[in-house]
Amino acid sequence: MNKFVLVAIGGTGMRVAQSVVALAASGFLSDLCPTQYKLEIRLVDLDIVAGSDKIELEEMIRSVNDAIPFLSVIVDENTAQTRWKPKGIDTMKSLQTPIDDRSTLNDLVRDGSLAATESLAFHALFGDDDRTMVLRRGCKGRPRIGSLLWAEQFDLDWKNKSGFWRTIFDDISVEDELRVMFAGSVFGGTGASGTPTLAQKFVNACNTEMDGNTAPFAKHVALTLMLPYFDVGQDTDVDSGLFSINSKMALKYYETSEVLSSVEFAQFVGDDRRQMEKKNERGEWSRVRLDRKSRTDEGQNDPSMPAELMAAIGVCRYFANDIPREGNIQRKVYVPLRWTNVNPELDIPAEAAFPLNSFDYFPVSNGGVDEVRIRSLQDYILRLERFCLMLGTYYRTSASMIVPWRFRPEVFRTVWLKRRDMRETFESRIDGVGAPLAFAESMFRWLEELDHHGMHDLLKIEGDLLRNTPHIQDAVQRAAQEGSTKIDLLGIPCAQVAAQMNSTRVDPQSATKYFASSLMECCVLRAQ
Amino acid sequence: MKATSNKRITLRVMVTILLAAALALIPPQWYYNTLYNVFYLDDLAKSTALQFAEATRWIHMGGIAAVWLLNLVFFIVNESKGDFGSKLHRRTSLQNALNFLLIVACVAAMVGYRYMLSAEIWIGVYLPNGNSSVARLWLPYYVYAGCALFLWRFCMDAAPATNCAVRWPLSKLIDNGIKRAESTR
Repeated sequence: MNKFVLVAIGGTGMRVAQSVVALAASGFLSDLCPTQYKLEIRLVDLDIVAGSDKIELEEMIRSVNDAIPFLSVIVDENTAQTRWKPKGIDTMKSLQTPIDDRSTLNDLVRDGSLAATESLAFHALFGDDDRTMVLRRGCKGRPRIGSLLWAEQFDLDWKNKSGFWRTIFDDISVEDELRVMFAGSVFGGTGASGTPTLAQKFVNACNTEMDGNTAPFAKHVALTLMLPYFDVGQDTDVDSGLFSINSKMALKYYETSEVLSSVEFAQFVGDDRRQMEKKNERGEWSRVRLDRKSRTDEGQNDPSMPAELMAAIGVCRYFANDIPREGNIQRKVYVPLRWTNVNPELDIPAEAAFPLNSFDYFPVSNGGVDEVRIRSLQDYILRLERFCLMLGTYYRTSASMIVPWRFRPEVFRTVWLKRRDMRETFESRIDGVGAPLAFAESMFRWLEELDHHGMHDLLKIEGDLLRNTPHIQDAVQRAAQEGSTKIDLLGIPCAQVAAQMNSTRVDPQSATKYFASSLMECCVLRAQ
Repeated sequence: MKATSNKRITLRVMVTILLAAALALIPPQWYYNTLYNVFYLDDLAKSTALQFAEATRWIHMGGIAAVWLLNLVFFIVNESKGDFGSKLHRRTSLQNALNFLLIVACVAAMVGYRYMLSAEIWIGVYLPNGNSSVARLWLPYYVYAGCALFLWRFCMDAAPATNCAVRWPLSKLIDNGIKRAESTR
């Protein structure tokens, strides 16, 4: 058995993990890795505020796992081999940090507990601003704070057999293959400090551990290091102007330290610096802004970005032992940036992000013999989008409409007995498809954020007032309100999906599971 | 799903073809002699009877074929669109209206042909007085109307396109059987 562990560190790590969760749910990882495997995500962050990246990731994982029973029915024996094989997260664990709502470095490192020289060094290395910064939203671009915390935290935790780190080995033996990927940024605070520190600590601890044979588990350890790919407003605690210099310093550190030599593989992923925007409760995009003036219940919750998707592809490929190669030699360090200006001499202003108008910018294969396994990311992403649109918008809208039972979609009559409040039934987690609906909503949020941050040409989600193009959900909703199937679902006509759904076969004992799984089957683009 | 869809479509089309063929061919054969024999035995009456019976038989067959064809067109449109709600409601209403008009037109064609043959009153001239004779003379009209009505309802309620509700219990039973997957528990 294989076990894959993604250690997501800091806000950026969490969002890379979100993309890994989405890719696993899309079946990408299962298609890459045909053998049985366990997928585990371990979260390392200081951010404890609700609504943060971490909370969002936890909710996303929960929604995927809840939906998995609905998404795993083989509804068509003929396509059983090529069907959508979603994968949930087998285990999720968070590192418990001694952080509460008001914790600062001063609280964690009490002067009284330090020796005189330590205290002197502490005050010399950490200014008053660092020492009094509330840590509940992470290290906010200050790796010096994180490096102090993580090193101490790791040593303490490793001693505990049921702690965060040692439980990685709980359900595996030395014959099993364990692959561990540490993901975080090189330019921020929590991730920039935690990723190299914890990876190195983990490898060293595995190799030197006397209590049990853990050395084989240090063999497959890798790093995903995010280079700057976003900007935040000028008036926040996070000074994104420092990202470049932070990155340069970090890269120098990676070049000179032993971190890279102790791991099997490392990928560095970056992108044009895109301005981050997040949709608020009113459905409006607003710039991500987080500082001391933010509400106390407002966490660091950033949107998903294309660079994170790129990193997640690399994570999945590493788990599947599909490490990028140069010739026949596996690369040690990989920079999968394939989007590039056609004319490199052309001076593109910094604010003009390169348009991502092809899925080929996301390399998913080494080419050659491997190419047949997965040709492109396109189908995996678009199948998710189709599923979200059909379940979360199209069928939900049709369930909400008040129409005679005989004019409901045929698939409703197949799955449910005649009932008055169809919407309530549809959204129910017991009688309806509430769990896959939550999954669809979560995935669509992820897709919409990617669309907003540069992938619109590929995902076609947002509307355009100038071109009189509606948001894709509005278009689908409008069609559903009319009962029309005259829309295109990213390459598959809605009429085709609806026609197939109308002939869905169900087991009455678990009809809703068949409904969701059949819909998934219809959303996979097959050669016509 | 495609296989199930094809199975359901094929079954429905085949059943409606068979039913239409049966309704087009069998009833005229059945009422032909009854209709012919009700006329007096004189040459003029028998000649009229022959022309009327032959023509109504063809109109019946044509009318049934037309109803089947009309419903087949709607079946194909429904299958290609797979829609529901107000779109389907509107199309179903149109289908009902056109079926009704088609049946009325075919009965009108029979009646029109009867007047084209001879505009005078036939009762008492070509065939005996009495309710039974009138009922036998009108057989083509109401047998056709009945057959066409049955075919129309069958096409819409028992063997509709796969996006429409099956409303006849036996058809529903068969259709549910096709849509039932083997239990995974």
